[in-house]
Amino acid sequence: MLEINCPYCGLRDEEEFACGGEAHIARPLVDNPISDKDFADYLFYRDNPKGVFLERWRHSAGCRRWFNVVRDTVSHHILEVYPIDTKPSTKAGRAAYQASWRRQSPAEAAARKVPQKTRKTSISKR
Amino acid sequence: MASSNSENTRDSVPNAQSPQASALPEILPNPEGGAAGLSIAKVTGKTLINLRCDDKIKAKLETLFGAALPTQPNKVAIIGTRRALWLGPDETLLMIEEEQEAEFMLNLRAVLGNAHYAATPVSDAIKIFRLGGARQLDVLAKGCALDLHPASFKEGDCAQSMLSHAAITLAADSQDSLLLFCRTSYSDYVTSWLKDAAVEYGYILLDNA
Amino acid sequence: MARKKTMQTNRNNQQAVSIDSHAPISFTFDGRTYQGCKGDTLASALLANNVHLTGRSFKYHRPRGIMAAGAEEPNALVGVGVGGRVEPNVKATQIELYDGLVAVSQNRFPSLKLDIGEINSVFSRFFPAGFYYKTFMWPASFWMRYEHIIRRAAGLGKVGDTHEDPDRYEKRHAHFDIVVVGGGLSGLSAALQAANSGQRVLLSEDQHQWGGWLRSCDDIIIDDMAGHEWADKTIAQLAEMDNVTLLPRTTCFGYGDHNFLTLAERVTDHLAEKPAHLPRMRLWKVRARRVILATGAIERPLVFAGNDLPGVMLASAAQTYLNQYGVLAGRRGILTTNNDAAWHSAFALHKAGCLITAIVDTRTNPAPAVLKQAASLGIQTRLGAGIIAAHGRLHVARVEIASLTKTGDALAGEAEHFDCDLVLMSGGMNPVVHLHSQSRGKLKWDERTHCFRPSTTHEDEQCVGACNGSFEPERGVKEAIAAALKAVKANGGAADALNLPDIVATKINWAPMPIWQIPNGLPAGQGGKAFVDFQNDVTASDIQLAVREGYHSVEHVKRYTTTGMATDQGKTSNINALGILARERNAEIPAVGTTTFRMPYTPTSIGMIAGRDIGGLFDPVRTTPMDKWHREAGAKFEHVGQWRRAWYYPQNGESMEQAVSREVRAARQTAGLLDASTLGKIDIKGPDAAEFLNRIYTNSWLKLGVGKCRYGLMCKDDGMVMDDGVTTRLAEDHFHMTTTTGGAAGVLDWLEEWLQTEWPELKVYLTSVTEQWAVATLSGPAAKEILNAAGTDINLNDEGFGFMSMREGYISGLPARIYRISFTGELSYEINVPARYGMALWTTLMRAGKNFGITPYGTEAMHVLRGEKGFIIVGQETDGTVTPHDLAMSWIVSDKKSDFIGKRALARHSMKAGDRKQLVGLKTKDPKKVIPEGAHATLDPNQPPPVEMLGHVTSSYFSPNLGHSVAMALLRGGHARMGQTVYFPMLDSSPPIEATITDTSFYDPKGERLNGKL
Repeated sequence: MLEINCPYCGLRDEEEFACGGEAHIARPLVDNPISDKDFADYLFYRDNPKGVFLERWRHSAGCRRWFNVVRDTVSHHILEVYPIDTKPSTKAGRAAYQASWRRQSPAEAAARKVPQKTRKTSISKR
Repeated sequence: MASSNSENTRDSVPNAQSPQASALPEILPNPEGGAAGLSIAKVTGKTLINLRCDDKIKAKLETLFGAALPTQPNKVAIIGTRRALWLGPDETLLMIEEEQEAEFMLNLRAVLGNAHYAATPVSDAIKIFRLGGARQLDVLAKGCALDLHPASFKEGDCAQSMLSHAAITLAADSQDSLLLFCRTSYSDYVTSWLKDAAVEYGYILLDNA
Repeated sequence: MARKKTMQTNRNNQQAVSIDSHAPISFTFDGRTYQGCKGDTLASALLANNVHLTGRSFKYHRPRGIMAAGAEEPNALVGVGVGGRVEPNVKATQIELYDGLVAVSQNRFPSLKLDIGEINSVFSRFFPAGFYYKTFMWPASFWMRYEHIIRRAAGLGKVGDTHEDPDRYEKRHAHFDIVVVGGGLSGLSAALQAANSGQRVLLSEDQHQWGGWLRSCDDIIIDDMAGHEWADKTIAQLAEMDNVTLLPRTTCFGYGDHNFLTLAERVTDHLAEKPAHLPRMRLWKVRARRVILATGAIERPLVFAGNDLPGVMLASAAQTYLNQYGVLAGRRGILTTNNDAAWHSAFALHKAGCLITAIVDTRTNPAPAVLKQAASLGIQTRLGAGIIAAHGRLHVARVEIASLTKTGDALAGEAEHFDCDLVLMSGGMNPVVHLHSQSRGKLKWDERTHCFRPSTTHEDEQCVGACNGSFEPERGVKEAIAAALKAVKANGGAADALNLPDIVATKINWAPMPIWQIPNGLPAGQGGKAFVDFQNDVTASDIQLAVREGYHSVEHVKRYTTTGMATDQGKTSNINALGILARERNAEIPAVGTTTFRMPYTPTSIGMIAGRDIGGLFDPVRTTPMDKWHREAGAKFEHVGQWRRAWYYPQNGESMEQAVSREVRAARQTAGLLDASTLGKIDIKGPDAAEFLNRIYTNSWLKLGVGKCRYGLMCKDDGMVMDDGVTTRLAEDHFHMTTTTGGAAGVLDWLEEWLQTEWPELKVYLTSVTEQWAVATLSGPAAKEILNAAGTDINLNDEGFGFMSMREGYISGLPARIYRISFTGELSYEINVPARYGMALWTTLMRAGKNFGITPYGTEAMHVLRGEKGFIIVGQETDGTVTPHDLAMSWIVSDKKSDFIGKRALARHSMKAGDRKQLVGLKTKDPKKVIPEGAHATLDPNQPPPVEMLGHVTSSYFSPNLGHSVAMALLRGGHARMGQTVYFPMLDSSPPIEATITDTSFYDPKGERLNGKL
């Protein structure tokens, strides 16, 4: 049974939490065209690495807040807990974030607001 | 068994393998003598308001409430019979006297005007109990994973957690008592559970605290 | 029984440290009454009565006796208790004796001394390693037949005939700064040092008395006290401290992630009278900031033919029985060993009156000190020799001793025979690294002491003393104190270092000779059985055979031979098995590796794990404010999630069908009343509330007028329907959402998730108000009259209060919000009042409606009524693979909105496939036939298998209002199949049910009844 450091409530038993799976999966914006195949990366594909993993957790029986966790899926050690809208700051967490195939995925690109000027051209290119 | 203390016989303790907790009596004396280890008192006559707002809005309510609303996690503001429990970074549970509800809500609306907040009456959705007794922490430990040791959970602290299968909020209150909040529909379960868990130490159910 | 009690013939010291001979105790074993003393274990009391034979072995039914004195006992497993308290497979060494204890031996028929199953032993060459795998894998279908026979023959103990367990079991959480496991010399030292810091300390001990080996030995003096006196003094000191929790009779059996320990406390097992208020056992779920393991060491057996005979015992165990319980396990003993330490056990027994006729050591060079002492006691020695076989039928009577070659691999001389009734064996010490290993700490092989010791840790944990391979007392205490200081400091505390106690102890060389099997001079596999794992009946030959058959990995050998498995977890067998495996593979032990020790360290009671989660407290039952009324009305209930809901209200002996039929008719002819309090309700407030709903639901919400209601479907982002309900605009920035009963918690979490993680910019607050409001749904043509009769200030005329709108006011003085919405297709009001008024509302309406024929209806009638209308229930018509389009509800999916959850997914190419399963209605050819829900549809009932399946029935009822059955089904390409005939083959081989595909609005398709006009 894990002990998880809720960013608000501190160390609590795992039974108070719900795991929300892989973190940092950006939702493509509706205005950005995306193919079915690329959209599937957002919708269906989830990583399950051996080692450092960035996960979302919710303190479901406590303050009900979502937050992110850097967890080693082998050792079960929790290396970092950080707010839901931020990126990891530990070396291991940053490396895992950078190494994810999602960073280069069209789905993640489609989750970024395209500046008005370039947006037209990028759409016309497709 | 010729026991002088009739409460200390198996007859008074329901078959534990199939807890028939609702069949437990209202009072079970401490089997080892002395005061009952747990007292459970229903707290009535209170209005509960679930307040959702940020810290800036909380600050505006200090005068109305009579004390600064907690901005630190898991803290309770205590002023007289009023309590304000931190439930989340933008969620506070206010407990005030029932007869003050109408005026309080009126004033709250006046103070906050068009600000972004939600003050939702939840008095009917939540039941409050006041727990006491020398063994109350031992009873709670049977179903709650929180560290409630007096060194780490003191008057003015609160926490949300699970008591066995029920979600609860606990607040350490005055005179070594604890306030326990649970959903109304779970309150029968919670009291049955507490009684059954207190069979070792004895318990007493009180009507009002 | 008036039978004469037997004498404790082997009890030679009434003043032994762990017993109180002034408190004699009677107990029975296999029906015979014996005497023991307070403080005895069942094992020590049996030995005191010269009872060695305690059971039959698992596979070969060989006679077995008491081999050890603690949790490591592999042989002496017995059944204890009577009636509902019968517990099988308990180690006699861990049963604390009480007056009236009843124990029986196991795995024997008809009796312990004459056992038919022993024939397995004769035919044992037919039961080699992997016997079950080899024999019963083919033909596979035969396994079911074999299994019954094998189970009966191979099981150990039996559970009692009475399944009503009279005991209570408790579980509790606890938090400590420092947890010390093991109450021997090192554990006590660590606990005392840790406790001096004022931090919260837990010290647990498996046995009922503290001190561990200090109670068994007579040659450790601490601060001028006998070891056990120092232990008593130290524990008294600890007991005085408020910050210390002492748990004797408590086995730490599990060590999981993040320093989570599980301990089993035996609270009343040792009491003759079990107080009713106390639990039998208590499961401690402990979160520790730092852990110190002081779990000691276990002596390992030597592997020689006949090493499992009763009367063959670990040397340290014999010494424990002597010093703790004053019991001499034999009169004529022989020690066989590979190390110096065991010599001292032999000396102790010899001095106490057990004639040690020989000490047989595989080494040629024991320490001069022990040789000298043996000589002075007149004990003859055989060096460079070993017991190559032990003989006897139910007890050891004779051993063969022979010289060995220098490496110990072969015999180097003729065997001599010695008579004896006790064989002490010692193959060196194994640190108890189970907990360290469970917590994923690593082990390293110690070349000097030939055992695995802890190396790196995974959790915040330190091993000290014998469990760390530090067998010397001074070293153990030093380690313990250092570890405790380190833990205190790591916790941010401080404590003055304790003075090291003054310890006087016999100097012992703890390095044994590595010898994993004593040869018998015969080719491999021949001669008597030499056991490695006594509990699982695994011999040295089994391991050799496994290697010959190609099982080289230690994990494979473990599973193939079953060594080190099950409840024993390799306590005595592990290293010998590894040693033999390494030898067979010509490898070193570290290269072979070791298997993982799994929890539990010792078997734990299932009752304790269940604790209070049984019977009425197994799962909470949530009730509505009107529950009492339903109960008094004789309602039958159904459980919807944790909610208890009125199912139907039978009257005058009605069947369910009759009652539901009456309720359904009433709701369409007069009025029905439903307790809908369990509906999920969420208060949504904020300037962006409408925008938020617009993104959550598939339809449009921005223009919904204040006071108006709208039905909505919500999808997951994959476009599949997840919930539905009616949401009402209370004010510009304020909405009241309803969800399904089962979806309430999930929907609130879902909405919070999107607000917190995806759209934090939206200014919206959510609050669950499910239980703030009690809801009574009044439905039927007379609904309006009943409300007026009840008395309300709300104008119920259509102009003032149209369909899909909400009004606030009073009903019979009760503050209420009335939503004019309908799940029945009739004129219908969902009346919400603060929950405290729920019962008042219900009784008021029942009274007001009496003259109008008001009829309470339950969830079954609710299902039928909505089935007649073809309204879906999420979770019944949907299963997470169904889109709004599949439900023929494209009308509710806005194509004008820029975004909503599921929008992009619904535009995926595959969503447009014509062969998706789609919701349709079904009308049976025979109007009385009701298709079973779940039945599969096929186009051709005569198609030879495999029959092509179109889909399945999701809802199906007989409609009393229509006079025929109605059903809905999800069928492949269903929307294009209107009018087609489908068949539903039946399991009971009755003819398939024939039905026509229709749309789903069976009753009042134009919705004319919504206004109450007939």
